[in-house]
Amino acid sequence: MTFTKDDGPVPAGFTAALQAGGYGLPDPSVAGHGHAHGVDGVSTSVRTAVHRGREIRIETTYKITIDGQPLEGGLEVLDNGAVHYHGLPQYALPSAIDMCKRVLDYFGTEPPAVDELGCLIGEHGEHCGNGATCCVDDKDHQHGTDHQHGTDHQHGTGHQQGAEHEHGTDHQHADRPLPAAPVPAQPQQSHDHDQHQHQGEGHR
Amino acid sequence: MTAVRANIQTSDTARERFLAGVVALNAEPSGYTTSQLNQLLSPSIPGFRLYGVDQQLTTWDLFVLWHFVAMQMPSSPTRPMRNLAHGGPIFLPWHRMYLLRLEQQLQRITGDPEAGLPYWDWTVDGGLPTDQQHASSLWGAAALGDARGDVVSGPLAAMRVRLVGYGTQLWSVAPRPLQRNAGTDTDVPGLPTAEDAKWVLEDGLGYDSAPWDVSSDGFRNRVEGWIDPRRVGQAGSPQMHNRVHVWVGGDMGPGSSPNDPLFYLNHCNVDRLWEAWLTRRGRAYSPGDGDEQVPSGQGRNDTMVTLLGDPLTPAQVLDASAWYGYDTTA
Repeated sequence: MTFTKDDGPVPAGFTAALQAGGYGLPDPSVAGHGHAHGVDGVSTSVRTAVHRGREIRIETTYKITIDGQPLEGGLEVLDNGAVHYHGLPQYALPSAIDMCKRVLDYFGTEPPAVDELGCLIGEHGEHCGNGATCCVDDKDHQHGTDHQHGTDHQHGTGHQQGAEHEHGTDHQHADRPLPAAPVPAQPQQSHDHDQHQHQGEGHR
Repeated sequence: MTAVRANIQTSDTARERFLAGVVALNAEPSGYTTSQLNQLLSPSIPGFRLYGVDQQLTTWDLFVLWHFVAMQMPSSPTRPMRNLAHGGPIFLPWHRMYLLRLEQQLQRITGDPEAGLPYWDWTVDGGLPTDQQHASSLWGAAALGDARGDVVSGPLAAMRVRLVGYGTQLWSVAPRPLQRNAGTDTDVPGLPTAEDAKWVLEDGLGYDSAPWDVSSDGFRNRVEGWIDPRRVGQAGSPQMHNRVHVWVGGDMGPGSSPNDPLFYLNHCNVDRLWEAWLTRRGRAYSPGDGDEQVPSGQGRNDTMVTLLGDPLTPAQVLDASAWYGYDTTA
């Protein structure tokens, strides 16, 4: 890789970095999915300061629902007390109420499209640690025997899997989170765990 | 050859060339579909995924994707709003690289190797009465189009939005016009003013300072717009760069804000202010080797998040004179 000042437009190489999966990215083995998101409407931020040699630590946790459904994406408190939401990166508002109003103004309550993209071949969707639906490698996901699927399970909009099914008692469903938890389509046979709260120990 | 970046409100040539170029880039097939991009990026960005419809994206859309991806990349230790393009010292060099790559695409598609990105000196419009700011010469059919609602007049009426931020995800949607709500947010009294620009260029002000985040004092954080102690009781209210995003609203709000060409006009003015600071204070960057609490990926010689063109480091963009210059930094 060379860094030159005369690296003008070269159409053939313009997307080389994209083809390579990008440069300057954190190590994917430790980075996860970017910044920390809230999960199921719960997000925690920590502020610290040192004053007169004493360490101040303030941990703020929000649990936010809108019409009973968890707000995903995570709110953060800045050191000056303003509230920030990653989906609206330039906004910092006086209160979480104000921020929720702004999120609703911007994003509404429904995804902007039907999701047709789904997971990649060899992956399936599941509820991931950042509050969104993630696609994970099938080989990395094994199910415990106490996780049963039946016939009448309802998924959120955009879910295009064939048979409906239900779950065993150790596998609870969350209401559809807002606004950052769409349900990717599932183009393959393996079952998925979109929109689920995973609470049973037998579920992995 | 060196491009000259001019004021879009005073240079007809710069304005017309820019508008023609961005419309062309917005219509130029990139050769990538949303599903292909998911396959390309998922190995290097675990958990990242485009949602929505599968469609062919344009060169313009790839820049939207790049900005959104950079915004998702963490910088350790975790701090509010800090990522590998915002909320820390990397903010100015990363956007300089990003604008440079778009400028080079404008040069290619317009056939003019000296075409420079124009800037919007919003401090001039910020001097107008607030109820007139959305009706300045920037707006209307002869320039950037409608300030409020769908953009259906002027050259930018031809532009289409295909990728939109939805909360913390990026969605591919049926193509639609640009949307704005300039000057309608009651929490934002108006655009930044010339007095604000003087304040960010205050004598003796360093580039940035520990803890290198949105609470730091320094030129970077003042111009990014996270702090303004002059405004007592308005903690966190958007200033400077942030305020312009919020004031325009619509597609300028979410992380997909590069959909609107105004994004580039805003950041070009931010970059012009940075160039003014660099000219006065020397081509310095911090944090340096001896500093503590340096956020990961934001050091002087760290490779910046790159999806298009060759990657660069902050050190490599401190002097942009081989690429471009401004008609004025005053």
